[in-house]
Amino acid sequence: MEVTTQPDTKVIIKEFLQKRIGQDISFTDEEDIFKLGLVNSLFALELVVFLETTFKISIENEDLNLENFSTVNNLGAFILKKKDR
Amino acid sequence: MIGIQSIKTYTPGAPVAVLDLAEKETLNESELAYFTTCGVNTIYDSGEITSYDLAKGASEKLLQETGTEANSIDLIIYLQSRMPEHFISSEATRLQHDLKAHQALSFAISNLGCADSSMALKLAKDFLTANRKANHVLICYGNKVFSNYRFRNPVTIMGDGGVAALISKTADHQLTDIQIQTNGHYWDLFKLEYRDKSADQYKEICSDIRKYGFELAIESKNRFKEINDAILNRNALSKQDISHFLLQNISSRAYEYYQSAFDIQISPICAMNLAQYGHLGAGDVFLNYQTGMESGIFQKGEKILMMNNSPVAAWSTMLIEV
Repeated sequence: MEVTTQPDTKVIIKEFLQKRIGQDISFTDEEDIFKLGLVNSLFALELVVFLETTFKISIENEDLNLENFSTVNNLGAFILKKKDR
Repeated sequence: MIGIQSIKTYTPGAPVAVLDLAEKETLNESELAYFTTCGVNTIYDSGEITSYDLAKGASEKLLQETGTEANSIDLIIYLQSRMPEHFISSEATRLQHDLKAHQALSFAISNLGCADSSMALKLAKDFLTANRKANHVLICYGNKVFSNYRFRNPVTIMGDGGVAALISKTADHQLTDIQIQTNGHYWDLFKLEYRDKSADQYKEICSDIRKYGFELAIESKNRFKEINDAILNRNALSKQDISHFLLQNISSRAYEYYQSAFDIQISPICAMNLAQYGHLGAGDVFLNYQTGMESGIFQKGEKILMMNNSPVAAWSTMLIEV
């Protein structure tokens, strides 16, 4: 499924994160997901593979600014920017 | 053809269970969780034996067991300890003197962390290729922690040990191709502030755990994909042609990460050595290759892809034909 609108993008991202973080933990779109205890390389890999396959993008080394990945809002904006390129 | 003639390891002292290390009591909950599950069961504590002595011990063992005359060594590449015994003096030329390798040229490699060993193998290969009369390059390294802290959070637990490798003009264990990349963006991600501290207080600090766990982890995946693909392509090979994938010994999580990222199986040799010796810095890839050579796991003609990286940051891949 290819998603091009930011609201849909954010919903999909949030669903993925919610599953990984746990359904019983609530977090906002502005909240730093890395402060929820997800800082490890396996989660990083899982997130990147999810973003690349779901949104048909390629995450390059120059994209690896943690800010791009820290919140649902930032992830949504990042995906839109990548798809616009 | 240039290849690895022999590798020897020198780990004096008795193994120590990591759960018995006093520093365990200083760790917080998340550090302790990683410490106890990173895949290291024991390390060797060499006591008063220095990094230089470990490198020398491994070199002497190698020369003795292979019947190699010290005078036949053309080049000594000494991998500088991250904590050298002295400032200013030269451990590389000291080793040349102590081994009586009077015909050799000696120098040291440093600053690429674990990937020092890959640079040494590349230089050894290039040196032997360029010098028709040269036959033997000795590479050696001693990994020694002389502080009270062996745990590099959130990476690994360091052990003590020396390794030495003899690179020669041989058809065995051919160094077919080596590629190395570096990126200075991470130059001080890990560091040890040593001024105004006694050696037993030295502790490596990760300046940004998020940068390590996210940015460097993903860049490492991207870098390894690029250099692995480049090496396989230019040698007309595919992933399926590789019989064994080796990595340095960092953690169970690191093996899991690269297995998942590249859909490969990292040789169980690595996890076995990690459990027994802990992380030996630039010595890991030599130790792992030695285990494969001497155990009979590696069979003649098989191709090995050996990945070796460092958070400084450097990435390297070596293609070896048994």
